Amino acid sequence: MMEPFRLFRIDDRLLHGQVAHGWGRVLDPSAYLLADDALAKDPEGAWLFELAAPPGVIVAVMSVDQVAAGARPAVPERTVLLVRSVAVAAVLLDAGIPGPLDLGGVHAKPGSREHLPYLFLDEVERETLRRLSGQGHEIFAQDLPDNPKYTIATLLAEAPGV
Amino acid sequence: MVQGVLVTHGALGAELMRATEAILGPQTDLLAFSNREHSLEQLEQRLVALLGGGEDPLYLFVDLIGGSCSHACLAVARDHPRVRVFSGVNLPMLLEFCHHRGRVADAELRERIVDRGKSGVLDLSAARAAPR
Repeated sequence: MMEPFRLFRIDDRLLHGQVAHGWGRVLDPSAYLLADDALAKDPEGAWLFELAAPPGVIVAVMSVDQVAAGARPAVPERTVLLVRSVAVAAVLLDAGIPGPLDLGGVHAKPGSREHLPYLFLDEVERETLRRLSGQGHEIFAQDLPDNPKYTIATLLAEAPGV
Repeated sequence: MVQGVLVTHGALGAELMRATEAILGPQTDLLAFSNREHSLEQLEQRLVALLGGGEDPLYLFVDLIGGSCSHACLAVARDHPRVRVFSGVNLPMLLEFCHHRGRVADAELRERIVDRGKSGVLDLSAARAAPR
């Protein structure tokens, strides 16, 4: 069993103010691990996220496969794992990366429905989350540490027609 | 909680406060006063009223040195040594204040506010080679 992360979060903005400041203040992470294929091939783009972390905190960008295979930042003790989508989170959970999984920011796209002001899911994403939850993974939604935390069961039950 | 007040032109302070709360979550003892609805005398009176009888410093954040907000704050600070006034308010310094108030002593907090406010100003298009 792999060591759990300080936070394993889906956020389509990856590392930004809410994560670096809002969660960073509470979690005191040593590193942010961004599992993102596009960014892993784009050092220029990755630099934006290096700027987002406070001085001294590592920002490691790796492909989803690398993270699934167990690759970790140089100082892995207090790592926050960030992914952009439900699909990537599912790949990692299926590969044995431990949860719980935080739905921290999935914004509107065509075909999605608002569950929370920061959480818009389409049917494919709901189905994926239902499956993962059914397999025993703990999944919740919470944008900031001092704001309410919603279980996936509550969120999916509230959506009409699901 | 150590109190902070944004004293700014127009809605700048209120919006900076909203942005701070969007990033950190709801904050207590963070207020925004505008020079729009108040005369300078009223602003000063409202600030003095916040001082109460405690010992804690009151941290005031103004946007522009020499503007009316800074005049009002400095007038209050002259009469009340517990008042701290910081100019050039920006989001990084507010986040720093909210992170560290109540956790570090006044002298360190003052230093952190100014350092963070300054380090948040960079020419990012030229900053790639600069050390962080």
